[in-house]
Amino acid sequence: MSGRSRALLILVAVFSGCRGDVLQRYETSLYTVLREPSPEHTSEHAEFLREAILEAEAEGRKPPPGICIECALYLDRTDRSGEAREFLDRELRYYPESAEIVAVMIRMLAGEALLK
Amino acid sequence: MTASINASGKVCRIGLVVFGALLFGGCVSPDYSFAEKYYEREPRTVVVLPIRNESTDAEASRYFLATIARPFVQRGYYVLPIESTLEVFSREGLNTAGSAWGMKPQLLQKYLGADAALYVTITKWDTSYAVLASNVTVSMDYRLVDCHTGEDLWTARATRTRSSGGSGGGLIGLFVSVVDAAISAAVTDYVPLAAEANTGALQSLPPGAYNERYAEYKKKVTDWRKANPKTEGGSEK
Repeated sequence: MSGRSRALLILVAVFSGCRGDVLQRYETSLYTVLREPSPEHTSEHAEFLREAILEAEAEGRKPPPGICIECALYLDRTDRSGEAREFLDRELRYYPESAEIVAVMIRMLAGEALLK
Repeated sequence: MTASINASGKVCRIGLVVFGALLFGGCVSPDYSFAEKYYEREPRTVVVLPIRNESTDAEASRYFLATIARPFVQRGYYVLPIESTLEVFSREGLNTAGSAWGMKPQLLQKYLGADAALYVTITKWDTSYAVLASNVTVSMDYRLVDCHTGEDLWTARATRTRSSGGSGGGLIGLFVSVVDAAISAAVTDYVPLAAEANTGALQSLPPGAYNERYAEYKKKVTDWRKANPKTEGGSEK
């Protein structure tokens, strides 16, 4: 195998394994669900957010701001509200400045008045 | 011979003048007064309000929402999750720009913990057709408001256009151009253009606390102020 072919193979291998920036993937996933908010797309977006968070944590990184709250919202929309609260707690742990919006979301999930 | 020396001397003098202008033109220090005022407020958290849509496409504001968080996060800001805050607004009967934009910014701080509120108006989101070509254009106005004082922190305007069709090539080329223009206009996604426009607009926004250039940029602003002290009346020297 020539050096050129080997270099090409390496490039293909590198880029096929590259899944792109998480925010870019978030943008695409959100756009899909905004364009067609079907139960299937809603569920896919919830799963995408959950996986993006777990992936970031497994790599020792913070998930991007707001993602854990968005995940809680979508888990609630797909009747998995039991898991939602846990993600709100995570957002607060990673980003203390989210305290107010997390409190509002907790009230929303509990069906209480939001803006007290 | 003398004429030739005179001419070359003249060229040298002009060259020196141009060189000097370039050299000293490059030495003019940038004006950081805008960034200084901005950092006095130190906004960290940004809430995006429902988008005002002045374009002819009724769906524009919904699709635009997918593009606005990423550039702010990349610029170093904590953006309140777009869909979650819109859900909150919606449940409070504030789901349109008309209703939500009337809310006092101070209340956004109190209820949602936002330091700054982003108001975006979509002014163009359309396709214009020529005989053999089409132009897809998106255009937005941005206004970031301090939730503590209600004052503008930053404003920007961005437009992006993508053209297609219009190639030559005889009768077949003409046919191909017409089909290409029609197909491109039908399938061209406005969203990547809007994302590009957002990224471009945010280049003028000072980096936020989560941006790796934040400390360096803030130091530049502080150093600039030391080098350009205010006079007693508060004006720039």
